[in-house]
Amino acid sequence: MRKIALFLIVIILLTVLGGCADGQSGEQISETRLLLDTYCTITIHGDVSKELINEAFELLAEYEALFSKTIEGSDVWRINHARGEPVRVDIRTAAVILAGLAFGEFSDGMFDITIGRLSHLWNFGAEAGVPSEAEIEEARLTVNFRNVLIDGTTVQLTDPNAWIDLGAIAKGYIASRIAIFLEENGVNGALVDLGGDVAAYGNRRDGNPWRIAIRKPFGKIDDYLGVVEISNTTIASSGIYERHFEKDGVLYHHILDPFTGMPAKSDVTSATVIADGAMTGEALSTLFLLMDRNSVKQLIDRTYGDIGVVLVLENGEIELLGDVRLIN
Amino acid sequence: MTAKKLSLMAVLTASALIIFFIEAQIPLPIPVPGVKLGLANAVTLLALFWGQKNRPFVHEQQSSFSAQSLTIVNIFTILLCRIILGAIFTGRPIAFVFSLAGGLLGFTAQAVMRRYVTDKQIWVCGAVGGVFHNVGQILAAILITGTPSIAAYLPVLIIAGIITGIISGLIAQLTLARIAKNR
Amino acid sequence: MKSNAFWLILFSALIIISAVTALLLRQVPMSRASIYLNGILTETVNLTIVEEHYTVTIDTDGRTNVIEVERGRIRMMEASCPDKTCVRQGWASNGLTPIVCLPNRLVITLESSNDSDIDAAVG
Repeated sequence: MRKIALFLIVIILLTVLGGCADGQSGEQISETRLLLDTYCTITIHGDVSKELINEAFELLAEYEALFSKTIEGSDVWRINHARGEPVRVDIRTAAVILAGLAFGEFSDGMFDITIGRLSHLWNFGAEAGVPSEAEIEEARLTVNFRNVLIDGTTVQLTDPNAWIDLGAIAKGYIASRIAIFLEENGVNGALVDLGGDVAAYGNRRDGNPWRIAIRKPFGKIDDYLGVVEISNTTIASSGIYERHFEKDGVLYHHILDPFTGMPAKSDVTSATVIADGAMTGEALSTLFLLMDRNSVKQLIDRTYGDIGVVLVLENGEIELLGDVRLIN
Repeated sequence: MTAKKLSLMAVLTASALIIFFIEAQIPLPIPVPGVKLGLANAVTLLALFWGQKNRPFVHEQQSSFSAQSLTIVNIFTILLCRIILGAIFTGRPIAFVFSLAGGLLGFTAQAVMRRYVTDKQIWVCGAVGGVFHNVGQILAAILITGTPSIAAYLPVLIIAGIITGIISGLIAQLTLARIAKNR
Repeated sequence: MKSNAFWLILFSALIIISAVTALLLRQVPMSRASIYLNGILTETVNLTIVEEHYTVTIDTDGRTNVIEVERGRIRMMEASCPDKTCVRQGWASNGLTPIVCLPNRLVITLESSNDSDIDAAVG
């Protein structure tokens, strides 16, 4: 009788303990957290512990603490509140700023990381409507990437009113760095999806490339144009439908033209870019919404490295440029 | 049917109902559909082994005490009454179907098993009954909802069935032993 | 008549086999959820590409269930059934055990990824 009771206790203990057991290695595991103001999903597979995903998310939080313009004390926040004084930053912040400035040069100022004041004006000041011309002009004047001086890890904004906003390239950088971190820690494959900025390392567990769907502009959650297959590269997308509002029948979206201070007028509604460079995809996808289709083609020719582009135009036409294949 | 037998059956039915009600008030922390302590099964087992002598495969002393045993029909009646009344009074008519399915299968399994075990092994009978009870409930759930993937709960419910079956079996076993001692 | 030891071993074996099976079932990564009402498929959700969380309300003959969907997981948020086991099951994100609301005949099954599945969505 006692034996039976003992047996019962042992069995219950084993079952409970078993329930707390770690996941098997080799399985593809995925975790999603709400960070950077969006859904961030990290998927890995390989002979690694589940703990690695935790570490990857911690790394993500580290980057957010550097690049966020709203977190008080972050590198970007400190630059923006330094009133023109030079500021020491983390070497990674310096790297991203340098890349941002390079894109500024490359695009003749169309892509500008000092767009901070202008984007802030449209996002908060314009809760119910359009900012006044005076407000727009005042903000627009602070936008000039050439006002950013950088020497090693010291950054200085020569215009004390200007604000740096790394929103248009930070996620691309972070996604790539996390993918590299996972690679260095022995995963066989990884997919880092930061709210639509995706970096892929290796393939899916079944050996096929990662399948990324491209959503339809203004479509429902499940509507997509098609799927692209990627491994060891990044993919990013921008669209005018992402953040927008309508007033008096006019659509105002969040891709701002630094020269006019207004939402860009272009015949491109959505641009998806596949590129090897960490920030190239994200920066270009934003850039392509600021220029018309022909300028996009010219810019692609000037871009170093092979990239693939999927454009959705105003008239609904889908255009594929460069190295890309859209499936089903 | 003697008056003695009838009153025995009445007491058993009432006991089973009471246990059933009390158990229904205790929420189990495990959020798996169909997991419950199943203590009322102890009464069914008690009834099955009450004065039970006819066990062809058991060589040891057959019954702990002399008493008129209940027929299978008697015991099934007790079970059925408990299930019906239990469902009516706890106000969950849907649970009735599942209780019935599980009860039927569990009862059949236990009725068969008792021919192979002694009075000291009622816990074995309980375990088998517990497993079949839960299997019966899963089958009913699959049929009613039409989704076979509910079968994914079989492993968990088998484990639960064994454990809860042993518990109710032990209760019946100890109760029977105590009654035998006091006779 | 079998000895006690025999039964103990038998039950232990059964428990261990079941436990291992249950654990294996739990690890299966799942990317799609299907909602069945009365055995009929009412809706499928691709959990990998959910952009923002939303709820689905299913209401038939006075039986109501509210299902909440987030990226990578799904759960029964509210139910009109008396015992609410389905709600207590919480979020489902891995494994093949479905979320079941028997009184309301509603089952949420999870399916693992297969070849034609999407891993992420951009745009």
